[in-house]
Amino acid sequence: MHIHNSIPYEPAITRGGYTDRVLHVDLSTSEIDIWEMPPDHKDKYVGGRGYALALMWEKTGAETRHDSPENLVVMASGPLCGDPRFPGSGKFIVGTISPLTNTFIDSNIGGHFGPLLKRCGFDALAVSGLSPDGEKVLHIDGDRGTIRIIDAPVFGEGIDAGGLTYGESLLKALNDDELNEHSAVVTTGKGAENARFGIVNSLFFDRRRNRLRAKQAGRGGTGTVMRRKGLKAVVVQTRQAATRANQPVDAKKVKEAGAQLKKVLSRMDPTQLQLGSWGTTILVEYMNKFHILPVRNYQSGQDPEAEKLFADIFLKEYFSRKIPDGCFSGCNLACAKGAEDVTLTRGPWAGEKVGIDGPEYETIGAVTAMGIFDPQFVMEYNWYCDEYGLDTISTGVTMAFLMECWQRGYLTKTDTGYDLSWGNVMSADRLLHETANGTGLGAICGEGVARTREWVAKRHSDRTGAPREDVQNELKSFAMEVKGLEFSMYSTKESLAQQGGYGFALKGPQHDEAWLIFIDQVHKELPTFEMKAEALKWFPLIRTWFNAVGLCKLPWIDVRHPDAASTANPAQNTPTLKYYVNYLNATTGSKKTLQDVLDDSERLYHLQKMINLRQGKGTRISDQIPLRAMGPVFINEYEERSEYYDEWLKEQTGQKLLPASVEERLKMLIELRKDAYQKLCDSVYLAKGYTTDGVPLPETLERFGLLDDRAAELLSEYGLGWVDDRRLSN
Amino acid sequence: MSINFYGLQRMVTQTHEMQISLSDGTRVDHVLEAVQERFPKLPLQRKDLLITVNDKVSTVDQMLKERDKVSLLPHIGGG
Repeated sequence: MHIHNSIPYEPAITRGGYTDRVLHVDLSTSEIDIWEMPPDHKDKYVGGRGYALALMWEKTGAETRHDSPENLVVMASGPLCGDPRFPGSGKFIVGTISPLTNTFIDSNIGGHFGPLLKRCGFDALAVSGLSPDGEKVLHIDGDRGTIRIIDAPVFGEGIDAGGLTYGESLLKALNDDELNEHSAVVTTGKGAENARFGIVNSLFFDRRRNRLRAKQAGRGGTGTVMRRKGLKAVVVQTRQAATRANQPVDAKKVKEAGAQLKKVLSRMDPTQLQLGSWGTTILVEYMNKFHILPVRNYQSGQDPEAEKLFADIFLKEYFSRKIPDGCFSGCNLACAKGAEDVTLTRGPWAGEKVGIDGPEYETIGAVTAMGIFDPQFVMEYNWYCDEYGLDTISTGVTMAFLMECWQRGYLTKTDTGYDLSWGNVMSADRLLHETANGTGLGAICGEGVARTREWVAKRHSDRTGAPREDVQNELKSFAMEVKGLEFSMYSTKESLAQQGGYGFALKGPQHDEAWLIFIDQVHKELPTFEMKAEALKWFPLIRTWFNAVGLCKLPWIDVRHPDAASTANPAQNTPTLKYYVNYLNATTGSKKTLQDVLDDSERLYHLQKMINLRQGKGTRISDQIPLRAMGPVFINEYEERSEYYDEWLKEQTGQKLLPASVEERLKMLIELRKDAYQKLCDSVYLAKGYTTDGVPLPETLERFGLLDDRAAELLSEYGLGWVDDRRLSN
Repeated sequence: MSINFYGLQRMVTQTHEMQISLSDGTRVDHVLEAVQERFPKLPLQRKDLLITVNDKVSTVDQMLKERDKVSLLPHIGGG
């Protein structure tokens, strides 16, 4: 095993949730250095995504792309990560400049890696550079006190190509053929090399199942950047006790806050969503009921065949029962469901029995987007995407887009090489493997929806003579991406608030900033633009705070506290949030209120917005969503849900009689929906302290201590800020 | 009218729906009582439930009509 560099180090002792150290590795030079963070750094940037944002703002520039040497892959937990006395504390984020969006993306991920990295003495790992001489593995050994960059070991062609199989072989190779809870690894697979939406797998040993399990940082191509850098895996290991992970200021109060949350979870989850029993698969049934499932590229929100993919099926046919399924110890929500000994029937591993972690709702949703309702295909799609290192969401949405292009005649067999009809399992399977290998149509698919749309437009235009720009515009109406990122798996045709939840999401249309469908569409709690705007400000702040501190948000957002019903805004579930604030204060010694937490998060939100602005994704035009996210594009979509659309049109127009033709009604609906979204933009920008073009006002940045020279210069490009003590316009 | 069952409810009830004959003045809470009597093991704490009638959010005192479909749903916050 060739060692490129190795340094000895003394793991820092964590105090109050922080080690105040960031490990930096430059793969261009194999340099390893440890950055001591100044005392006020954590006050301003909190941790996790905040640390990643600060590094990106400082060390990358407008010209930085995903494969630039200065681009960083940051893996960072946060002050509350790693304490099993509080549920859901195993999270960390992977942040980078995305190959899909060309701006910052962060994706959160569970497992043991984040907690072990901290126990090895680091709040974050930042990897820059591009390996000049092959793939590397970074090995952080807190027990021996060494950090090494080594040539990636070779285990054989099949294994070396896989994120899951390679991770297992690597851990065994570094641990005398043993798997244990004291080491963890992040990996990705060959799909991440060939597609822009590569994921990072977080592999950890589950003693009860006696196998490695995997969680994923799925969105935005973090794994692709890892592979571009030549970083094949990162291993962390230490035997330091988990209970000493954070050294909280007040351990008794940590325990108390954790016990209070655990009590709510154990009492309320069994009467609510039952995530502990079903995982997020339970959502399929509810999304189907309310026309939110993204069936056939988000055309239909519901399908009679969807019941083949309800949670009952996975529980009965696949999930291992009676095994606690937390992705980190101490979490009694335990929603990370999995299956053992599933025999693969397709692909290069056909005939093999594998353990499968999932499926999550999003993966099932992605399969319905292809018009497929086959649970075995869901399981295999899930496993192969993890093994190849592909995002199940972006893969599914891009494949679904290609299928619709085929169905609507934009593509022919000459273009694709094979039939791409809705529900064609054989074709979907073929396209999945081609995407991983970067061959055939898969080489296009791996580019993601935005770039695939351009390819389709060119092919169609060349074949038919139709103006390419016209074709592009037609395709844009059902190409489900914003800012270059594919939509996650919720149809928003009936929720204006969630249209905004996707459109304004800084990373692109992922629901972790705002998931407002139920309170908007079902509860009808956000009837005005102002109320929607307020929710679109509040929820992103609290939801993304979890990514800054190293926590999972599901125990807060998906299990409602019994006292929430009597609060002013039950959906905010503030009685549970009090436990989180108490946990924060007990760990770090701060005396923060919920409002302080929101303010901390708002600082990070605006910083991310500034990075977007710098990268050309920060103005109103970048927040625009495809027509299909607003409503039906084609007649068949209107007709499938005509009762709802007719009623909506009558409400909006006050007309008792609507135009006779469906075409006219569709046209009317589209205009009204487009107009509503623009009004929402105005309301949201006002609520957030931005111009009508979506650019942060100088005073907004100043309030959060973000108006440094770089920010002022950037704002001046938009006619904002101060020059020579003179306030520029707005 | 009918009550639809979802998720774990179905595991308890072993059926997708239950039909109930209405008498004058039947409200949602009367239906809840009838369901609880038929399925004592079904968790039906009212403040934990979102009650919908014909997919629209309802209250326990809403009067019901023939052909109404009642659902008892959990709160969903999104992942």
